[in-house]
Amino acid sequence: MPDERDLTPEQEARVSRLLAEARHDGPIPADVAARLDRVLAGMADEEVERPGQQAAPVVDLAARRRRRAVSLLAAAAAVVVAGVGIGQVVGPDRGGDDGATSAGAGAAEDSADSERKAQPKGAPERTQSDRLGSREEPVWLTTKSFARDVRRYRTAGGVVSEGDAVVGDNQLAPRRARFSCGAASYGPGTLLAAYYNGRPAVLAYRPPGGDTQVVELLQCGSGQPIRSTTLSLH
Amino acid sequence: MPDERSDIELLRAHVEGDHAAFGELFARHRDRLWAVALRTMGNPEDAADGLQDGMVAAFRRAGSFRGEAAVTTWLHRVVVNACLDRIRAAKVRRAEALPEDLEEYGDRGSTTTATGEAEDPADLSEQAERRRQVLDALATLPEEQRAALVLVDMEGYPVAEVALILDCPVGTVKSRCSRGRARLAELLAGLLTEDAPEPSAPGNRPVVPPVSSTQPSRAPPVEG
Repeated sequence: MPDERDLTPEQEARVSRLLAEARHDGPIPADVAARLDRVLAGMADEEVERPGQQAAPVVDLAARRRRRAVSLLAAAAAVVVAGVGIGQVVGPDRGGDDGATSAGAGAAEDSADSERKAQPKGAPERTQSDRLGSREEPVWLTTKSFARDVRRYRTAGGVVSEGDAVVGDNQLAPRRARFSCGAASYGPGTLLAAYYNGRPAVLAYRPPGGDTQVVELLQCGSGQPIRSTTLSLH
Repeated sequence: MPDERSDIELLRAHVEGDHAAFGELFARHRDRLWAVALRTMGNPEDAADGLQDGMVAAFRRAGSFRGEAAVTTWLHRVVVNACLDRIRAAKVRRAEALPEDLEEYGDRGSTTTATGEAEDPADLSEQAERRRQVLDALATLPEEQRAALVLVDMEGYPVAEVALILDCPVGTVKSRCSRGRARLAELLAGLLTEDAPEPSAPGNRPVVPPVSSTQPSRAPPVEG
């Protein structure tokens, strides 16, 4: 290759030396190590509770929420989502808990701007009633406000309450006819249909581990993580 | 009291239900895995995400490890793949980003990727400036070339082991390294001029602790 012939062995060695000098020799930062430890502890707890299983068992609270979310199934016929359980979260206009309703309204106001920015041309047209807090709709996320929005959706929708270890299952519960997401294994926890920078994705609130909860944004059709964050439950 | 079990023993124990063993195994290698993730991703935030992805994948896929390569090689492979997946996904997102998002991506791009390391106390020194330039240039390379150079030139792993980590032939690793160095030589021409050759100092590789493993690297591990 031409570019390979451009360098003499000495020049290659000098580039290698520059790279070697730029090697990172420090230990892993304490906050990253602590975060990884929390994630590991959460996964270990999960395995102890459900060894070898990917899907989370449904607890009573989840069943109760699911009963109240029956309307979320209405658009199932036109949606190609498979294996995504997003039926556990009830919006304020569906008789959700009062606390969740209040928080959802606040979050709707706060995130409206970022949501508008995230909506691409050709994306499903949204109305006032589609705004954050209405759990029938996919949640809207952007790169910039990801962590903040993830926290707000959790609070607003009552995604997982404190001490509520598992609220999700893999029940089909699409939110909107025009939202589509290919089948894949998205893992345990509460899964929400999402638009990330205008693209369909799955937002997975993993079962809490101790005082933290890992939230992963997953690629439609593959379940591969796009990004993740860890929420403190304190 | 340190756990004296070997890497493979810890991994097997994890598969059999002793999940603390995985924590011990990962803690043993996470500093080097962090360094690889940091240099591959280019900034601490994305490196933490990539390392976490890799750790989660390794935890869940441990049962698919067949012992055909060193456990550390397998761990590196899972982490590097997780990082490369993130980079590729980010490229897709950048390509599809709305104008409103571009400003933010600018903050995460190659011009700043290597400058956010708060742990570097000498960021105003000449050495730190040179390091910054090198990392900025490294960040412009295609991810496959970058990963190869991080593992070979920065971390000092043998090309054969890097081939296992990247799941490609040895010749491909060499080719990626050569092309990457050639590109870096163009980008870092000023530094290379300053950096006069030192014929009497052939050893330019960092001293890297040997990869602790009880398993020989014979073939790429099989992943589920």
